[in-house]
Amino acid sequence: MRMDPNMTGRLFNRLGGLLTAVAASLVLGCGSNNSPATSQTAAERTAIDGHPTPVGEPMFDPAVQTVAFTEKTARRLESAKPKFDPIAENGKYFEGWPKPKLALVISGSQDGYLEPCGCAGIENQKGGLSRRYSFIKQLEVQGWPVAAVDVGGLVRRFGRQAELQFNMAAEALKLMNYGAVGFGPADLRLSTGEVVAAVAGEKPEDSIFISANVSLLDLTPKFRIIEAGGLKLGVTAVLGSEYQQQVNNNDVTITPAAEAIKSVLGKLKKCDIKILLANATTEEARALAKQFPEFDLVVEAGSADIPAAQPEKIAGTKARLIELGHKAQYVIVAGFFETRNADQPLAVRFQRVALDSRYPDAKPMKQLMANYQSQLQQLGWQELGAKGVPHPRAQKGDPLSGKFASAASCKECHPTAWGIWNKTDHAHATETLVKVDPPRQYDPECISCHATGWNPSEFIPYVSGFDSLEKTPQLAGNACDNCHGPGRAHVAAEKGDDRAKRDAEREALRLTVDFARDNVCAKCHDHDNSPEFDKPGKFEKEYWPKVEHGGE
Amino acid sequence: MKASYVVVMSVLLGLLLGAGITWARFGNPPLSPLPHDIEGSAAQVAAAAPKLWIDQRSHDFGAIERDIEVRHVFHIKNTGQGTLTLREAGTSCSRCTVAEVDRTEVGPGESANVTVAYMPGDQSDFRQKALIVTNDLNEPRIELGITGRVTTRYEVVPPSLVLSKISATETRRAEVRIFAFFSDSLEVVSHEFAEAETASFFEAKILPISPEQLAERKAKSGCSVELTVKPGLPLGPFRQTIRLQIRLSGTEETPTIRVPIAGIIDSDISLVGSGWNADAGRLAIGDVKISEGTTRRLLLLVRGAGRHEVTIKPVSREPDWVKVTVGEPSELSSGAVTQIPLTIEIPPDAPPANHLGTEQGKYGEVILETTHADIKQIRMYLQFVTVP
Repeated sequence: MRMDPNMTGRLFNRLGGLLTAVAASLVLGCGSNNSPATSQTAAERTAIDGHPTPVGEPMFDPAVQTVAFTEKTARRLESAKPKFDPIAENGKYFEGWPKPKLALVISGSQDGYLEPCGCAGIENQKGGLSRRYSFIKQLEVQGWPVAAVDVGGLVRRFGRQAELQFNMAAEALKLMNYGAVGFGPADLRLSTGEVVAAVAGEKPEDSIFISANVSLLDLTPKFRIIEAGGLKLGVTAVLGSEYQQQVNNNDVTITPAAEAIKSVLGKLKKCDIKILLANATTEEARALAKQFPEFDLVVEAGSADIPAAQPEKIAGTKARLIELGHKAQYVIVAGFFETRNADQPLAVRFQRVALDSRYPDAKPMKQLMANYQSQLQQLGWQELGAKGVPHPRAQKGDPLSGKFASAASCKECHPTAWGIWNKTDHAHATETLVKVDPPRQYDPECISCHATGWNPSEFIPYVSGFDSLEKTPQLAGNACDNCHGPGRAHVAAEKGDDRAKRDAEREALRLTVDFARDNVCAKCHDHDNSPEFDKPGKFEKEYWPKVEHGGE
Repeated sequence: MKASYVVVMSVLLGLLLGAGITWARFGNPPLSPLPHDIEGSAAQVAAAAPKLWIDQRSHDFGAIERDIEVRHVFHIKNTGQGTLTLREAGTSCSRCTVAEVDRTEVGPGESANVTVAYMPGDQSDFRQKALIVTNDLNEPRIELGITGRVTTRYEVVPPSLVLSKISATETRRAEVRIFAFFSDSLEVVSHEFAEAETASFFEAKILPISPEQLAERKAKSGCSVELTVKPGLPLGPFRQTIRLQIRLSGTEETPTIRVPIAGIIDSDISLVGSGWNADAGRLAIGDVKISEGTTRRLLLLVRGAGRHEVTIKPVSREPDWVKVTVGEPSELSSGAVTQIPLTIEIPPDAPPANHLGTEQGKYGEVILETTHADIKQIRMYLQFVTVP
């Protein structure tokens, strides 16, 4: 049967309209995709799709974003990854806990790790003063009485930067209302003036930094009594005998731990809870706990990476040995609860807390970090002790050996390899430090892996290595020289007539994937900054494909 | 049918479809296990559930040798009625710890093994964990822990030396001990200082080590290296490395140990105290209430051989109503430093003054004269403002 053509036409019109309306509504109904790619501003999109760097121009031009390609790809890859869930990874905390009479936060062994690095994805990492601050504030906001103590070990390195780290960490602990803090051996190796300035207030006797057996200029209080939650906590601290050997500083007087504790113990007699902060090995802390069974909690600094979930009961005593792990990635919370037992009026529960990404950054800590980075900038490399050292490949009599060339020099003969490198995160490593808040490009501990020509494990530059974006922009990024070795002699040899020299220089810079993986990459992709790097298969499937290149 | 009805219906249909697709994709969180179910069905559910049993949750390897992998097998059994699923969900150290489950589905009455392997590195005491995720509602995730202590053929204590605040005229000594755990004798064959420029200021003496020190470390043999830093290094930080080649009995090896040495050569006289900025030579005092005034206490530290003869006196004050008092010297209990208390007082009822170092007012200043052979004067800037 033939249809009326008019009706057919109307039918098609209506169907077309219907389909169009449905399609449009589908889009509306699905809502917007929140991926960053679609929420970019027009300016960002322009920058991202911007122009490649013209030949002959400096590698890094702050006015032109050449990051784009990699960033876009990275974002796509990131959005495809399952989102990291810290609670699924580390578990929930304080499950089944009623409100305690007092929550005592115990920390220590920060070892200079003011924050997780963030290179490998800060959401995957643990620790940092900012998260600790947020964690303590969360407890306070939910109405728990809180006190905090630290066994010490704020820094690990020596020198001006470590002094500034100590300063910042001490300020942070004061802002978190810490009641008592001990000393680690590295703290006591720092310049006494800096330590005293950080720990002593107007009245040194009010300092929260205490020690029974360590005296800094004869000023250090030997104990503190902290009142919190209606309880009195008597706290003293010692530096263990093995760790004492690491301190060689005439401004510091150290006596044997046991004798010092004896002289202080009487002062803590009337306290509800007695705490010994023993910056000592596990064995020594355990021995002190047995020798002085008056203590309820003995905190030690010699434990393995990850602290035990529940503290060890010291046989023959009422004491618990609290481990803290390394880098202050964890804190231990001791919750004290009232009982109806007159003989034992307080009961205690423990919770090991990983300072993971469920705890947000805190503004006061961010401000301290900004001040710290500003101080590093003002002092400069020289004042920070980051003085250029000769590269191991430097040879006497050859002024070009051990000197850095820059990626732009390599591009002339290796355009394909350069082009691949230019699209990787390595090329924009310095940029990432500039963009982070606060910027980190004046921090030796950051720039040593984020620029060309630095020793990444000692945080010092090599002679002719990166100085600044203003003076050495050609050495920005993690460029060819960093992995292959300083290339200036090679560049000169290519232009010269000495064939043997040319061949020798080429051979010196040749790098196989296997060698790179085992000896080169891991210098920056270490466990702190790249915890996934060593996982079986990760290098071959994820890392190497991003940078893979030959010699062209 | 009116066109407007068609449009409205189309829009509604599209919205419904779109919303449905979005919810299905994003808005449907996984169901959490039901903690307590409806009477009757709970028993049915429990009857068909898997149940995990494990022989132990942690293993201590004790003392193990570095760079030699160790493994431990944890045994799991399904004592329930349903199929137990197991999945390895990461370890605390992807670099050094690997866990492997030999079967991911375990029927009722069957067993499975989880092997945790650890490669010891630089750590001494270690604790690592492996996470296993299961479908046993009572044990959805289990942590398998491994602990132990890594020993090596030899150990250097401490592994690096830091010598804080050495006076330019001072001789400083420090000790490094080398312990061997498997060899009956250890000998230092040769040693040298790597940084040639400053090597002449360093000396090393190899000395025997006492049996008590060996026993404390549970070592079989060892030696002590006494390092001396001689006067004459320039002011500022220094770095040096001592390379020690050692021979261990029972092996052909003659490894070379590198011990980094770092320190600071400092001036014989320094100031310390709250608010003192040594880089800027400035004491930050801040706001001072005129009615109250304020006092700051600092310490002058004097080092070096001639420190007992050094005296200090204030010779200039700006503004001149600032009071400066130099106290009596005393020896620090370390026996190598003399401390002299120094008090800076802004007295009560001082006149209004701005010494913040801005356009409104330059810093205040105190100059101290000393009898030290090289350091004749100490200049201190004072940063403060008096307020009503």
